[in-house]
Amino acid sequence: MTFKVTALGVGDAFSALHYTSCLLLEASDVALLLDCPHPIRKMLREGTNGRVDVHDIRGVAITHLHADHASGLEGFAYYAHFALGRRTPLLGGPEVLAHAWDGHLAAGMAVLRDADGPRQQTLESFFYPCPVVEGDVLTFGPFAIEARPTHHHIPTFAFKVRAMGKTIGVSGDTRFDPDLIAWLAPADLIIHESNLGPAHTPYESLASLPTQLRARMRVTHLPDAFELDGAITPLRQGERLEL
Amino acid sequence: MTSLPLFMLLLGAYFWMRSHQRSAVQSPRPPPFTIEVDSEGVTLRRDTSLKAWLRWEDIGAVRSFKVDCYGYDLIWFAVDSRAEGAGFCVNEEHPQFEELAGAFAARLRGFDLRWFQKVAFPPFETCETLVYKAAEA
Repeated sequence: MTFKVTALGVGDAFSALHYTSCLLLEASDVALLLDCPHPIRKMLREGTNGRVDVHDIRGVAITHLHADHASGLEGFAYYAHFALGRRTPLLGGPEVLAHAWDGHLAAGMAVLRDADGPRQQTLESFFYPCPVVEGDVLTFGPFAIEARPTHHHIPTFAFKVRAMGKTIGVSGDTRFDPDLIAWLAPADLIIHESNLGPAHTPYESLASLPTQLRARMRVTHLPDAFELDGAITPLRQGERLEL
Repeated sequence: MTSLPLFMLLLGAYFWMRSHQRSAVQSPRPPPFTIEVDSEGVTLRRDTSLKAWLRWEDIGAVRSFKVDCYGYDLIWFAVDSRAEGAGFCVNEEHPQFEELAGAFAARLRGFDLRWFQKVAFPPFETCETLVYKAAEA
């Protein structure tokens, strides 16, 4: 058995070519989503040739609440609630979870109407909140999960996930941060974002990192028109990596 | 044949003495998390949050030890995940400690059923003991 990573989406928020940022992590028959954009069921179906669906997902980890990373949470949660009759662990930094309901989901999920009339819902109606606190290790099935805040527009967390003796590091959205690079560096596979603007990492910054680090790095969240120079291999949608 | 009743008597006396020592020096505190045990594994919850989840096959090792708390001692389980750095600790003051110990005995093949004798005696010594080690995956 190995630790498998499937890129379900690699695009940025404006992509016309790709689904947006989402990884499927699998180890020891447990599947964990890392970010959850819309349309998550279609992404799962296409990314795994129908092998994995929402009912296989044991937890959803969210880096932050921008739509290109979290717009699928509502659909995921409603499907789990109505079709599967269950709640799902929602993993994230404390500041992310604190805003997940009032700042993101409540507009579409705060009230459900049943035979007795409208009923007020909460985040806990659909999820088991599972805070990943900086400096702690969250134990989640076969995974050991760590989180670290990044520098982005809104509260955002990078993740390191260990399983089967291997580690994947995921930057989340962030401006270039050498301290974050150092935190991610021990990982066997590093998936780092790159995009334009002050809250994202310039590709050139990643391309200037040491060769041995870039060899373990894949770049994602790039603009559609971005021209790569080969310094870092881009993550491809549908690509499946085994650690 | 007479040693087992004597041992049980001593064990009962030991727990009685420890519980009275503890209640004399401590005020009751709510447990920091609840423990749910089922056929799949162990889930720790704090209020509505999930604190940890391990399936039985995810458990790499269970160690037990005592901590000398000056006047009484406290038995702990340290549960290690197969994933390095993950796991949880729980001590015998948790109201579900015995339930967890029973689940370990029932679910973890090779769990040392004599763990208590090995860890509890002699009193006030750490007696760290590896009570379960998973086979290599």
